[in-house]
Order: sequence, then structure tokens, then C-alpha cells
Amino acid sequence: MNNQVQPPRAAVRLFRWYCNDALVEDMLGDLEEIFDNNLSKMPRWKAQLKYWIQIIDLITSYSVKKRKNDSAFHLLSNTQNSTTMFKNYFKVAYRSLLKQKLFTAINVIGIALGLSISLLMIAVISDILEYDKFQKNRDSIYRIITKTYDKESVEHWATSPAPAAELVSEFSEIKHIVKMNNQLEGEVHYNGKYIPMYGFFVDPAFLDVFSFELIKGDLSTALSQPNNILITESESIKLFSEEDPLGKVVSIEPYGEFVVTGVLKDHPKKSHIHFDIIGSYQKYTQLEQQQILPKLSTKWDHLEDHYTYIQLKDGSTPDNLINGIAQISKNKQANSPNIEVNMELQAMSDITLGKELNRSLGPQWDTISMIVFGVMALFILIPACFNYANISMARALKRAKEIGVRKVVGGQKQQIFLQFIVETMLVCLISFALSYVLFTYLRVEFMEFLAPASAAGLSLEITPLMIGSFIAFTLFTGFLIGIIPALHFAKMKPLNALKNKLPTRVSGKFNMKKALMVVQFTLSLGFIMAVAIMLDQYRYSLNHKMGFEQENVLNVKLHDAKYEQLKTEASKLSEVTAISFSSTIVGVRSHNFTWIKQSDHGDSSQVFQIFADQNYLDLHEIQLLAGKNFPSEMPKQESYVIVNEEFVASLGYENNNDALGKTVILENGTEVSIIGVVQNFHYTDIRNEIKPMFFRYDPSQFAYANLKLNTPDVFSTIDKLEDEYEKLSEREFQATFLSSDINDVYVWYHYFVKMVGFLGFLAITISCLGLLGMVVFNVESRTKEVGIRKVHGASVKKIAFILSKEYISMAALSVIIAVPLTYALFDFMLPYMQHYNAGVSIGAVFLSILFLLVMVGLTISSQTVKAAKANPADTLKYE
Amino acid sequence: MKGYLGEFEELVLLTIAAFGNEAYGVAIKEDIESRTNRSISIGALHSTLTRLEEKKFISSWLGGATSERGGRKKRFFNLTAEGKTALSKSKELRDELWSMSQIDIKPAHD
Repeated sequence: MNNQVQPPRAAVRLFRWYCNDALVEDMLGDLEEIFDNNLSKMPRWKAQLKYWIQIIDLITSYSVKKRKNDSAFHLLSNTQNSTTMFKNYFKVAYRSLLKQKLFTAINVIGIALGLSISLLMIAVISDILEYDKFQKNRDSIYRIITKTYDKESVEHWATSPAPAAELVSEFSEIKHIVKMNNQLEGEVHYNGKYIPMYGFFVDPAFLDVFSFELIKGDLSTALSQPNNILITESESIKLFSEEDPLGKVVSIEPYGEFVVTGVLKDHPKKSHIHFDIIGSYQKYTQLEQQQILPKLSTKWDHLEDHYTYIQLKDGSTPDNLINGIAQISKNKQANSPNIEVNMELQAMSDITLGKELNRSLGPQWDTISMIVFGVMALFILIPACFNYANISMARALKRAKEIGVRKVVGGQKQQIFLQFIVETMLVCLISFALSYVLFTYLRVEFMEFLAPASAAGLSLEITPLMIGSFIAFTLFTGFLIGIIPALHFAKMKPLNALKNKLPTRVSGKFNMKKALMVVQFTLSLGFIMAVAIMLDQYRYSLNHKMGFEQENVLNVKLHDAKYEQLKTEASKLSEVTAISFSSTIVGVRSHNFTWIKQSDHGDSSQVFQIFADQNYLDLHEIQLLAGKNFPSEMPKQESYVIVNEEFVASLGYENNNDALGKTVILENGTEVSIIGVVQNFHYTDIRNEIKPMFFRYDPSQFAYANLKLNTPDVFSTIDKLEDEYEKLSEREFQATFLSSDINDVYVWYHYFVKMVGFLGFLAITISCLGLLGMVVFNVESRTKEVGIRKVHGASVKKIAFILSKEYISMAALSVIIAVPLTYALFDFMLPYMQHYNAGVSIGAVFLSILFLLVMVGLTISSQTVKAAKANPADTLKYE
Repeated sequence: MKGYLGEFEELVLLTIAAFGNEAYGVAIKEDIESRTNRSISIGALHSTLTRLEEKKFISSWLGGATSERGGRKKRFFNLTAEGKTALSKSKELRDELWSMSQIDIKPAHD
């Protein structure tokens, strides 16, 4: 007999696995007998091969199928009556969750916090994917976008050169081409009402290409005349109330009069094209000819406001068009030597979730920020998941007996597995309920955070689909979290489990756990430091010396009021101590640049300009270093400018006085002379470096009156001013304080700190919960050790230290990792965010570390001190 | 009579009958193989046994643990009354046909 040679084990295993619970012992016996017989007749490999063939033969035979079938419907089978089993799983899960209240709470809170950001992310993604879904021709609509290169930089534009449309329209694949210009903006006037509206001048094909529904008016003639205008339903109600809008004449300054020829249904919110009114492109061309709008539509390098959309013919592909458009760009290159213009096609589906473009329409999410967001969400969620897995594995010791008994009375692997998965799912669903509450709060905050970034913004409306995907995500997460502990429990050997002789893999996995903990704390510290550093920046920005006086200065928008009249009226009020006029509000972001030349043949350079009157410098307390202010009687022809120190330096003069009397040539060719030099001040916000700027004098450019107030009662003064203003203009009185305008520039810090602060809060809470779980488990399993140490005379302090030391070293390690990384990141980023910044202060770093250590310390000591204080007489009895 | 008794089924039934209470998988397989000089696949044999059991022509029981074949139990088969009836019906049919046939019966030599 050849007892040593066994049949191939893999084959036996395969057979067993395939047959599952079916009774096939006799078959295996038969096979083994044949195998033994064969061994004496043939070489071993041949016998093994035969064995394999027979196994396969059996697996595919009717007999095994029948036996499997029998076993599946057997009295003790787990496939029978599964609803009862599920009820039982829920009952057991419910009981065990109640039994370990602390751990359940830690898990539920941890997962709820972890999930919240993921829910937000799902909401954002599903919102983005909804964009432009309502467009019926979605798949065949493309936009021509442009990439420009000049000497300094590459820019990506959502716009395209206006003359391109004519050339592109010659391609045979194109069904429609729509030129759109977004300069149709202003206050629409009808019957004493002024309502600000925004929209596009478009080609008539606009209504064919896009699914914007015309509810009143004739589709074929709606945009046939230059002065036709379409209005959305809600805006039409605002403007005309009950009246029938069709045929009404409205005026928009400075564009003139329009006839309403149609009412468009309000377009869905989730449209990247957003408008209140739609005018005709013919009107735009007219306005250009009348020089009301700058004549730019023939310029190939002008890319400010012009969009081109194409609809392809059904069934045609854009490939040929892409090459054609590239070719057109190349041919036109010769005309504009300074700037290289390259046009490309962009599918409609790539507009909202695509790359970031200048002058883009609607909200825009580039892939990178989506990824950053996703990574953030995972950074928050994954630690929560690991905490759950860690804690439940650690609890395995406590539940070993339960599992042992289950297995002995016939519990199958799948049943144990399912039981733990159900338990995890239950925890996740409870967490989800909590997380959802958190999400509704987060949603509002997040929208506020986004608001300044995107004009139209995301709505993040809660839809059934969204809730469905939330729950699906939660269950998926639950499954992923649960699978490791569930497999671990299912694999337990019943005998070992009952004897409490568990493979103490816990210690082996401890290093992994420690590493995860360190990662979590590193991340938390990173967030805390980010908050501290950004708070520093916020404080710094608000207190930064702007170089001018910002208190008690009220800026009143002039609109069509005559500035001389306003001056006379306002001067009558005793509260107004000084008045000046200017083109912009100083100290906030603005792009009021112009080009100047030193001589006819010199290079032009970019200069920031403010149009101001004689009182401007005094009122703002901007210091004049050399020369003099604008004289009270200015010549008709613009001839004087006042410049800042940077300007003087850029001209190449060392001394301010040297620049006085020198002349520069403005963009329109006028030669002006420098009569004064002022100290550098922040003419825009402090994100930008102070560069050359000058003050010009041109009353036609005045847009704001700057009033210096001296009054105990601001509101009544503003009321009085409003009364005066109403005498001069029909328009709404708009006034803001300079200091609050300036503070508004930095308000994004507030939202940023709130958002990052919240992320930090999540990160540190989850980490501390995980730590708490670890410490509780560790302390529990070392109860006896502590008792014995105490009996031998160890002090409470000493024991608490012994129990805590590994955690303290973990926290220390994360400090060592996090501090240099975060420091480097912010040191690199801050100058890009804001030229004048507070940098990374030692105080902020120190406070963050302190905060982390205090949190960690509190978490650890909450358990260790209690354990150390326990009476050894009790703990040693504890079994 | 339940269904038609196939050739292989009849062979297996008769072999089981020959073994008495000692018929089990390998024994049946080897016996048929040696008598008919053909090779039988184990899957086909077990499938046939299963079908015969479903038709209630045979019954089976598990034997005790064995010392050889990895200590695994044998499944023994035995003819039921129905199985015996089926066999005898089948024999009657053949005898009848043989008696009517006009072939001289010669014993096979090989």
C-alpha cells in the first residue's frame, strides 16, 4: 500500500469548495481508492492526472448537481428561510451594539463625520453631471474655445475671436453656428422701472440649437429685427407685471430701445448659459458701427466677450472640423504677431466639468479641483473606516465565545460573515442618519464658500436620486468596512474560539494600526496649522496699512447724477466734511489698467489708473512726496498726472523731484506731464504687488463720490444723502463705506477658515475617537498587568505614563512629519495667494502643536488615569 | 413499470444484484469494466446510480469508516423490490423476443 502519496490536494479542495455543503465523502473515497489502485499500475503523475480528470468529470456530472441541490434544501441549510435568519442577524446586531454603547457611539460618530464630506462630494458631482442635461442637442453641440500665447503666458479662454465664425461656418458638418456676445447688460427701463438684467446678443439660430423654450412670440421672427429682444418669464413679470410683454418698447442705456418679441421660459438652473434677456447679434453689429460698443468683432486677438457655439449635423463627427479650425488659426497667425491664437473645439459635456477657462460661463469645476476634493473626502472617510475595523477586530476577543457557540450549533461561515456585515451596515445606516443632518448644514456653508467663486453657483438641491446615491454609497462603505472584520470572525476555529485561544494576530497588526494613527494625526495637525496660518493672514489683511485713510469714507455711486450738482447738494450737509470724486473704489480688486509710453518710439508699459479730482488726495490722506496736487482750475485738455513712487522708479529716476515736469504719452496719444508724486499705497487689494500707477483728471470718468463723514448718527446722514441724491437721479441710491468694502475683499478667508476648520474638526475628532478606541481596548486588556504593577508599588503617575507612552510617541512622530510639510506648503503657497502676507509664524505652529497634544493628552488620560487609579484588589479579581 | 431501462442502467442494476450487499462505486465500476472490456467514467457511473436511486430501483446507505481510501466511508447500493421487478420485466421482454427470433443461439467464445 502506498499510504504516503495523497491525491492532489488542490483537486480535493476544488471539489469540496464546489460541492459546498453537499455530502460527497463517498465520492472522494471512491476516487481515492481508484487513485491508490492506479498508483501501483502507472507513474504518479499519470495517476494524479487521472484524478484531476475524474474530479472534473464528477463536478460536471448529474450526481453532484443532484446532491448539491439536495443539500441546498436540507432542513439545516442556510439558504432556507433566510428572512428569519436576517431577522436574527438584526436582533443580534442590535443587542451587541447596545451592549457596547461606548464603542457603538465611537463608531457611529466617527463614520457619520467621515461620511459627511463624501456626501457633500456626491452632491456636488451629481449636481455637476446634471448641468445642461435639458439640452436636447447636447451631444452635437460644441463650443469653440481658444488658447493664446504671448511672450509672458499661456491663457485658456472660453471665448473665441469673433471673425472666426464666418470661416468656420463653411464646413459641411455644421448644421448651425451661433455667435454670442455677452455685453448685453444693463438696467432695463420700462415705465419708470429700472431692473438690472444680463444676457447675450445672439444669432437667430440660438433658439434652434439650444433648448430654451419660447412661450410667447413667434419662433421664426423672434430675433429677425436688430432691435428685437426676448425676455425670461420671471423677469418679464418683474418688469411688466400683468401686462402683455409682446410689442412693448424697453430701453437699455446706452444701447437704445428694444421691442419685446418673445418671452422665454425660465431656463433650468442647471444651465451653463445663464441670461435674463436675449438680443439680436445684428444689434451688436449696429452698436459697433455707431461706436457705442468698441469695434472689436473684426479683431482676431480680442477675446473678451465673444462666444461661438456650433451644432453638428446629425451623425457627423467633429474630427475634420477640429483639423479645420486648427488650420484657420494657423492661417490667421500672420495678422497678429504679438499673440498666438489657437482655437479648439469643446464638447458641451466638457463645459461644466472641464478645464478652467477665462471668461467661462456658469460654474466650472476643473478635474484637478475635483480630485483634490475627492482626496480630501477620502482622507476624512478612510480613517473613520479604519477606526471601525480596528475597534471591531480588537473586540473579537470579547465576542470569540459567541462565535464559537454559533459555529458549534451549526453556524456556517457565510452566516457568521453575514451577521457581522449586517452589524456594520446597521452602524453605517445609523451614521448616515446623523451624517445627513450634518450634510444639510454643510451644504449651506459650502454654497456660501463657493458663492464668490462662481456667479451662477451650484444649487445642490436634494433630489430623490441624490438620496438614493447617498444610501447606496453608505451601504457600499459599510460593506467595505465590514468585510475585513467579518472575514476575520468567519474564519475563527470554533474550538479555539471557545477556549479563548485566539491567534493573537492583534499584536502583529498593531504596527499597521500605529502607522494609520500617525497618518491620521499628521493630517489633523496639518488642518489645524492651516487654520492657524490662515487666521493669521486674515488678521494681517484686515490690519494692513493701506497707505490711505479708510475710516468714515462713504462712496456713493453717481450713475447719471451730475457730479457738480451732487457736490453742491452734499456740501450743504454739515456732516459731510469733504467731498472728492473718482473712477473706482480704492483698495479693492479692480482692473483699471492703461498703457503709456515715455516717448513716441518707446515701448509701452502697463500702468494702473485712477481718475480723481483735486480733493481726492486730501480726503484719503494720501501723502504727497513731491510736486503739487491737481490745480483747482484744470485745463480742458487733459495735461497733468500725479504718479506714485513705483512709477517714478519705473521711469528710471532715482529722486522723486527728478520726475516732476516730465511727460508721458497716454494710450490715446495725449502728452501729459507729471506734477506730483505720492507715496506708494495699495490702490487695489493687497493680493497684488504695488506697481506703477497714476492719477488722471477727467470728470467724465467719475463714477463715485467719496464723502468724508463726521457724524454720530450714520444712518440719518445716509438718509439725508439719499434724499439729496433722489433729486438728481431716478436711479437707486447706492452707497458703501470704504472700510467695509475693503474688509469684504478678505471675507473669503472667513469662509476658508470655516471650511478648513471644519475639515480639521472632522479629522481631529475622528483621530481622537480612533485613539480612544485603541486606548480603551489596550487598557482593558492590560487590567491585570496594571493591578500587578500597583501591588508591586508602582505609582499612579508611573502607570499612567506606561500606559500612555506609546501614544505620546505616536503623536510626537506625527508632529515631526506634519510641521515641516505644512510649513513648506504654506511658505510656497502664501505669496501666490497674497503678495503682502503674514507668512507662517512660529506662534501659529506652536499653538497648533499644543492644541493637538492637548487633544491627544485628554483622550489618552481619560482612560489611563482611571485604569491607573483602580484598586488592584478589584482588578486582579476581574475575570 | 416506471420508464424505460437503459442498457447501461440494466448493466449497473445486474452488477449490483451480483454483489449482494457489497456493491459500492469502485467495485461496480471495476466489475463492469472487466466484464465488458470498456472503460467507464466515474461521473457517468455516479450519475446513473443517482438516477436509478431517483427511480427507486436501488437504495443506498453509508458504510462505516474504512481503513484504506483515506478513511472515507463507502456508499453501498442494494436492489429494491421495484428494481427487481424492473429487471425481471426487462428479462421477460428479451426472452420473449429471443424465443420469437430466428437466430441460432451460440455461446460467445471470446
